[in-house]
Amino acid sequence: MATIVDVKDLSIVFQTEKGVVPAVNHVDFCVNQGESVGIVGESGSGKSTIAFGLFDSVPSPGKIESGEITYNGNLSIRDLEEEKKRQFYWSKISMVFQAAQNTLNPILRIQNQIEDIAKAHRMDKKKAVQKAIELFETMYLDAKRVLKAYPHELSGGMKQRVSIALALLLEPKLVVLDEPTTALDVISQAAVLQILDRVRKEKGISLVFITHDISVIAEIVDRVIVMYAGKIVETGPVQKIITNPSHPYTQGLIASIPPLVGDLQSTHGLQGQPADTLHLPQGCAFASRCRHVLARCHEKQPPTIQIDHQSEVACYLYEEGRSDSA
Amino acid sequence: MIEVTKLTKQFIRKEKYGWRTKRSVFSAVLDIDLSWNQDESIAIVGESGCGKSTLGRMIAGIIQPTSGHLQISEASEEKDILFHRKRMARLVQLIPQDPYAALNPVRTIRSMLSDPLRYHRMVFRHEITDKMTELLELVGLKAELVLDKYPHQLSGGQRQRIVIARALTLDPHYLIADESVSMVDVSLRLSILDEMKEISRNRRLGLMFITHDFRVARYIAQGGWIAVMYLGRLIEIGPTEEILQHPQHPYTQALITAVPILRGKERQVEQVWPRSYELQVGQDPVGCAFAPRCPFVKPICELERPVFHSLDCKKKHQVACHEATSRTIIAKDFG
Repeated sequence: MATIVDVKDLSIVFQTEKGVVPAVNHVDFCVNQGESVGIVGESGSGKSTIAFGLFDSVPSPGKIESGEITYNGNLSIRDLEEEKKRQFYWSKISMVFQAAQNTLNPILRIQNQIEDIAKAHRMDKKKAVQKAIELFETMYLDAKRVLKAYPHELSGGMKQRVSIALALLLEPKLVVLDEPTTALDVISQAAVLQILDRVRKEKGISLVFITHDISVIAEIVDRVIVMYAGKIVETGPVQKIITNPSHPYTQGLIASIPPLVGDLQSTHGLQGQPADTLHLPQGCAFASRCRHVLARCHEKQPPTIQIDHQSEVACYLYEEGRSDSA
Repeated sequence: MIEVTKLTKQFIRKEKYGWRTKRSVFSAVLDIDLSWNQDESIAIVGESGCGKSTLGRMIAGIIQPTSGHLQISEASEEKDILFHRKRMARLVQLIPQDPYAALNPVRTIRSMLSDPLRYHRMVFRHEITDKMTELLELVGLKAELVLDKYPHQLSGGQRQRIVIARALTLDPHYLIADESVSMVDVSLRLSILDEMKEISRNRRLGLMFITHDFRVARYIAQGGWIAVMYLGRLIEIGPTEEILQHPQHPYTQALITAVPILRGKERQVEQVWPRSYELQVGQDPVGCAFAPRCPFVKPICELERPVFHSLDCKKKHQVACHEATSRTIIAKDFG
């Protein structure tokens, strides 16, 4: 399987009045062709910042401190010129932003917005509109009505689907979706997720979902990356993460999802407050909330440990020779 | 006990066509009959626009119903509207939806929490700080860290807790929580829900929880009731587990189908999808309101409005549907 994007040792910092916030801290991951990956974490864990990092457009005052982001194995996005980069966006990678229903231009009809994209990418307007009509139809939208409508005439779920359709317009290889369903109702959320899953399988594109609620994406991702305080604490196949999470943080995250069936006794919330990224401890950032904390957790950052060929965890509990005690 | 009979709220909608204004009546809540005891919890589930928040606000006495009757057994009939409002505030309190909008940004937590205590003469003046400390402890906050802060200095989870503490200042008998955890991160949601559950159990508070999430509804209304609303009407009500295991209305079944499941722990047995994904607000058809979207629609559904009836003899689980059939949507997955 070809690798679409490869992120190596990515660090993003925010220079604020109160000090330097390391939002993303030495992160490595890759996304393969046709794969769908979920990045899960609390607010402030740096998951949205990673998304902006993938586009090399971290909002000020943040900046990429170090790291390499390569597309298709050879193209490094940080070395691209500004104009090339603008062409690269949307045609190779595109993004559906958080609260995407508000990213549509309120004073342009949807058709004009499609034509704008076509113009910017030197594509035939008619072809672009034709393509959009096809996409709208796969998303159960009434294409005729939507094209003529202004954003305020559409409901939240419809706007969300329009922005997803716009993200797919130039047939990118990778689509990054930042909290794609948070503002939606349950039924439209399920519809949007189903559509995305189907489009991915039909077109072989890769999807990166960024969310704080793992239960939402559990059915449609292959692999999950769990982040805490700017670091990846666990990665693995979605089934393994849900049924047998390794890192204490992931365990807490899974245990805090109330089940629909079965007993509620094993459901309990995570203790303590989310990590303060301004004052990160020397050791593991999760140590103060961890139930299995060891003495050295406070001293040094835990190394990343390979559990099997697909799963990795950054926790001392799984170090050589003491994997039984977990 | 709170008893609601034929409660209806209609809003006048104005649409401007040039210089003319067209007025139309929009019914947010229609003919709701509901009763609920002080030591029970009930979850109201529905999509946005189904009128669940309006129902909550009417029961809390914040807006007046257009017609219908609201009877709280602890309350006596009061003629004076101001006095009545003051009485109601001590019986029913509402926890508003958005903790970011519900707190006055230019007032400290201390002044916000002490106002109701003074106005309602809950405690002596010198005891106010003690009472506030006690309230904040109840919701898991340290008084000395938050009392003199402004809302912007607190995190979303802390604000949510402040809003809960504020609703408890008057020792109400009933608490209505409107989507209280939808703005909070998943990892913090559960601890807030746990606190609300414990508070309502310890103080024998009747808790009404308004939500669109069946996971949250089941967790908070454990051993209580779930009521499902659609376009202003109640369409199904029953004991929590009964509704989740044997939903009978196609809309309830669709809502449960739409909840993303955790494969490996849960398994989807059957799927029920509505024929259209969009909720059409505004019309009030002659027949069943769900008929245009219902996958099992029959000719009778468009002609006659279904009435509440019960399929079991105990009359606990009631449903308003001509074609009510029990379907199992989810089950436990063991592998």
